[in-house]
Amino acid sequence: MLLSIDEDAKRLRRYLDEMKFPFPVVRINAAEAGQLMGVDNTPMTFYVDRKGIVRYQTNGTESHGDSVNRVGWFIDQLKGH
Amino acid sequence: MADIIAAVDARAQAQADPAPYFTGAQILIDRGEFDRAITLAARGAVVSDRFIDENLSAYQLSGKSQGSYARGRATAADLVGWALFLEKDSPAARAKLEEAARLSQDQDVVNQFHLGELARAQGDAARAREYYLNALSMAGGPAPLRQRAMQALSGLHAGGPSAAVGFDAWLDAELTRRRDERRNAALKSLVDRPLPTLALTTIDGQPFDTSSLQGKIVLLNFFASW
Repeated sequence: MLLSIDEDAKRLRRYLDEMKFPFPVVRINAAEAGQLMGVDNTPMTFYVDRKGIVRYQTNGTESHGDSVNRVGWFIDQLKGH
Repeated sequence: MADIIAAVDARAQAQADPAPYFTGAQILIDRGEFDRAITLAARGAVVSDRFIDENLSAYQLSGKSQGSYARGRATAADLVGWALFLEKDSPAARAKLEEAARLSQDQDVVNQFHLGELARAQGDAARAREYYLNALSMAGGPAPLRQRAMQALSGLHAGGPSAAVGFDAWLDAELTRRRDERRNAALKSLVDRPLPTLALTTIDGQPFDTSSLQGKIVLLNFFASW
């Protein structure tokens, strides 16, 4: 799920129309994201297991060659245990 | 060779924890028996999982079961990766060492050192520097290994971007910066903590009910359109 901290709804909508992400996108207040999740720089990614525990946290973008492996790897770990 | 395997098996009969497999794998690596080391390390990973499964109640009481699976697998992956590196299979070594890095959250000194050695062998000085610095900015690891990391960095310093700065001063600054960054990140990290309740809205401004996420594996990616 993608969470946007954008304040400008119009700009966000234009961006989403362009990018056509195949994932659900929601919005969150930037200050709240900073306070509750420590999000001070985007992108940040959190991997949460079925019990609602944050298990992995990554900052920044993945180097392109590796991203599918890395994201898929984290998800596999959560599926396993 | 047979004596090592026999010793490991005997020890494993007495107590089914993975330690003898990992120690045995390290000994085999030291003797240049890379294939057998890989086999032993892989078996150690299986034993490690089983050991935790069998003692799960004890691990869960301390809340450490998740980390323990990862730790055992990280040790195995690092041993296998290092054996592959010494066998000169760089692509396979890199995959395994990077897997170990993810499993240990980039916080295992020995594994970071191994990644440094691999990067240096591949001629990637910048990456090698990162890994060696990472290793040295953390406590632990055998003294000879730390020394080799220091020597490697010293060798890489002359040809690097900070060559004009004295090595000691540069190293001190780099390690201090990394320690501070790590401490700040650890304080802010949510890892192993429950996901806070978030107030979310849809694009159209309607409230989004996060209870629909419960019981599922969730990937939350925070982004901005700029």
